[in-house]
Amino acid sequence: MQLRKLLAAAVATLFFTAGAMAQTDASATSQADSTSKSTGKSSKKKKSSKKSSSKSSKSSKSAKRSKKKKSRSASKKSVTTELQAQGPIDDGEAPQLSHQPVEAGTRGKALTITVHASDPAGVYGPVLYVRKQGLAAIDYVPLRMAPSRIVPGDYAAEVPPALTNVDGLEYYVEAWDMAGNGPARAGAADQPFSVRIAEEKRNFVPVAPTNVTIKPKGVPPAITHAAVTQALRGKPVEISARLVGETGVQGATVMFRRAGEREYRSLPMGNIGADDYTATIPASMTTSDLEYYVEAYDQYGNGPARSGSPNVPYALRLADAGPPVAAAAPPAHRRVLDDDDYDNTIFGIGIDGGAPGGGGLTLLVRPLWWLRFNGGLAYNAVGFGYRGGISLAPGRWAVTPTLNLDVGQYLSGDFTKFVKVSDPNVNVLLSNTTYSFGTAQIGLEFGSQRRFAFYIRGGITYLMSSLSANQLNAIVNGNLGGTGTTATFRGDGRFTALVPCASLGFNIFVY
Amino acid sequence: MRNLKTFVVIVLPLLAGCFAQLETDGLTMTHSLCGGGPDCVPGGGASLTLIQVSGSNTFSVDFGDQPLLKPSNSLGPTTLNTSLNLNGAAFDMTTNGADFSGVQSVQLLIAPRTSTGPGDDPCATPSNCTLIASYNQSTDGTASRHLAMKANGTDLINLISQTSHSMILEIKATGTAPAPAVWNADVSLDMSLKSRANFP
Repeated sequence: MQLRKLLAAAVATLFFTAGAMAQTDASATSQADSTSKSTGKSSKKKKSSKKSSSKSSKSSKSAKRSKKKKSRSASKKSVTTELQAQGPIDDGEAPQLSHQPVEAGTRGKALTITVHASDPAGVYGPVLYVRKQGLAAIDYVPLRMAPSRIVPGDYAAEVPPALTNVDGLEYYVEAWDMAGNGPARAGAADQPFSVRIAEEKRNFVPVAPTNVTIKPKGVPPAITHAAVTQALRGKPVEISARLVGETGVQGATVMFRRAGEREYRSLPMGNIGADDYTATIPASMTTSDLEYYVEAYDQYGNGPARSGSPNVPYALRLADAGPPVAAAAPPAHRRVLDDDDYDNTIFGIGIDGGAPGGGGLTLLVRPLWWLRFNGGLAYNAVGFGYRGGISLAPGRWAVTPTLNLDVGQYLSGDFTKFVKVSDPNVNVLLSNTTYSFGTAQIGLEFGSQRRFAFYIRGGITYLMSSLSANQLNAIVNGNLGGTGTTATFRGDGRFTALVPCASLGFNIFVY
Repeated sequence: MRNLKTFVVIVLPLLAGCFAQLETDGLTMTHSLCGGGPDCVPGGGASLTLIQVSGSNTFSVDFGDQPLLKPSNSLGPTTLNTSLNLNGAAFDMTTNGADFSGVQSVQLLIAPRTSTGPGDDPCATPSNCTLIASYNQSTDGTASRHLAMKANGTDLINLISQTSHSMILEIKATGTAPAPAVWNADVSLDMSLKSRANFP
């Protein structure tokens, strides 16, 4: 800044000195004219010719020629006076300036200031003084304005781009005539013109997209994961996540480490049906607090998508089993039907049908993800009954094998719907039969173990029925032929059967 | 597909052991020797060889046309096999003042035919008959009005006539007959019935 001020002062001083020299020359000439009568006469003629603007300089020149003819015999002093009469015409007035103020410019672009200046004695190059808006008077930078080669009297100066990297400029123009009269000003140092500098407006023309698009194939899968923050020390910890990938999912992994360790260990996650994946950190690793994150790729290797990250893993605190764990348990979460953050749904219903068990409507309760209890009503063509059982589903895959054990009893069954006999005693026996059963089946369940699964099952059923001794006595004695012979059953007869069974149905877990 | 194969491999052996079965351990057939008529068996303390019933050395017990009393019944795709094992037999004196205390031994035999008269013994050739129960006073104790015979587990189902639905019995005894000139007793056969169909 000091250097710029110093430079400005130096330039101003230079201009001032030049102007002063011009004024000194003019005053000397004036003084010489005043001492010469002819000069004074011609001076009057010049003044009158200036006033009578209709007279051209041509007439003035012809007058000068006649004057030269008349004074060919003039002295050396007269010659000098004549030479001086050919210099600047001092009209005693400053040049006339006309200027159209410039109000706006563009940042980083040169700014052109023009002015029109005229004076009979000629104009001594107008000077443009420019400064950053708001600076002091000594901060003006003088720029010499160049005359136009096309329009006489027009002058222009270009403010270099380096000076337009500001929000605003202020300027004024000064000019003198060749006789040193002036300065005439457009604007003033204390009342400069303001130029608002604005950013260059760039007209954004949207470019039409071309047909060639380079786009990576596939996207990493989206991971939805409810962080596991607490677990029991010495127990396996299951980490589950839902991985949804438009281009498939592969390499689903739980990366975990003990707190304080640097390196993560990799634990592949298995698909347990639909988009659900799980992995179990073995009990041998749950001896101290853990940190983990989940990552996965799509089938094209895009990724990894992560839940958590190596630098910001999930913290899994391990607590000892017992009451302290219960005290440290996370706050209860009010579950809703669509709460997908939970890995396990607990309650549901099941509907099935098959042979010989008939149809059933059961309530399902799943205290553990691999263990289900069921209980409900059963019906077949014989009659109504009830049943209950357990199912083991040792996986949560899209197709999950199951082992199912059920027991139940049918009440007041009527087998005469299936068996037609003529013996009325047999009909009595068949029309009032109860039986119990136990079923062992293995099956395949298709779908989500968490929500909906369709299944087929096959196995064996053990049927047990008690046949009334009285009814058996009636049957046997009714068919005895001879006299003096009777039959007596001391106890009830037993009917048992081990028969194949099959069923199909579905489970819906809703909560 | 692999799961389906596993499923089939496990289920098929289970199906091979399927069955349906009806059983009762306590079926007792009781037959009066005199068929509900007056006492008809000679007594009088005579020495015993064959016990005559109404003048015959054999008597019949009619089981009637029972649906299960066949060695085998065709039942749909499977066959119903029946067994009728004799658990024991007994005589129960029905004549007042009479008992079996003089009886030394008794053999209850299944005869191939009925006796034609007092001199006709269908079991004269022992191999023609099947011993199903016996009593020996020296080992079983002296009987009174109830004489229990031990069975040897014979399956009676094949010994029941499939046409008459009856079984022909002969009683061989030693010792002395009950004191009354004629007496009567009920013969009871304690049996176990089991009908079983295996499938497939």
